[in-house]
Amino acid sequence: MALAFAGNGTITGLSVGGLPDGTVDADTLASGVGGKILQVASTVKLDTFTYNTAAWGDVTGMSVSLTPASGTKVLVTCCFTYGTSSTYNASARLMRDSTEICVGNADGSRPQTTWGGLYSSLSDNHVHNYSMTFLDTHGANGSTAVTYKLQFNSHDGTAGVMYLNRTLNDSNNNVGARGTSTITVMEIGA
Amino acid sequence: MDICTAILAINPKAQVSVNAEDYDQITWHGGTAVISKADIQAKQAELKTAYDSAKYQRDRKAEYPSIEDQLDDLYHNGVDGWKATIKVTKDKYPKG
Repeated sequence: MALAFAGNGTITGLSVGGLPDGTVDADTLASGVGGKILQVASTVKLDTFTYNTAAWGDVTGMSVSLTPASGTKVLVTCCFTYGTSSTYNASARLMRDSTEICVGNADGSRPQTTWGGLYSSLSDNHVHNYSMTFLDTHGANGSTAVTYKLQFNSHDGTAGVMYLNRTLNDSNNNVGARGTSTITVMEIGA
Repeated sequence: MDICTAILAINPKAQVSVNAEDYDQITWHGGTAVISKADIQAKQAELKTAYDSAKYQRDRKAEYPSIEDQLDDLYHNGVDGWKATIKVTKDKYPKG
């Protein structure tokens, strides 16, 4: 069917997919229309990671990137399996590139964390599962990738070892549970 | 014995991250001097030997009566009775 512009303001003959990509953007939609998931990216870490440094550091394999458009938001969901001893204190936080997100306010020397006070109140054979969902206002404009990642900080350092996806004892039997950790990001249309 | 445990046994002040228990994915933080793979593996073997040789201690510890029960045993049966109770576990798990 040929494309036709009627005098009553309607267009006929337009095929599905007939508009070039990007012709209709979020700003074109009426208020209240949108909220769509525009893109999804995810990572899952199945192996282990060990960290005992009294400074923030990346958790290898726990990062995911996407290139969000201007004005959208990114829903970040991070879940991780964690083991440590009851003796030591540690924290974890979510990052967007080099900026921490979803952390508590600054107050003295208290660590600003997404998950603080990470230690096992049970035994050295237990793991804990932590999760957080956060709607991030990313500030990107569609031209550069944004990376979301997980960082650890073993505030006690050295002996305060943090274990991802395993228990402290990591016994080679049915109490030495291994787990998984994931980050999923979804760009949400305005 | 995992890599980090071996590293800390060699250098208790070491700060590291270890990914996937892979010797080639060790990151040394805070100016920690690098320890060779061979030295780490040697320490792991040493720690495993020590751990294995102490199995009888772990087995005994898991099976000894509680302190409360042992005190009760002492009260009712005296030292000889208590020693007889403890000997059952010691004999079950002799020193390697």
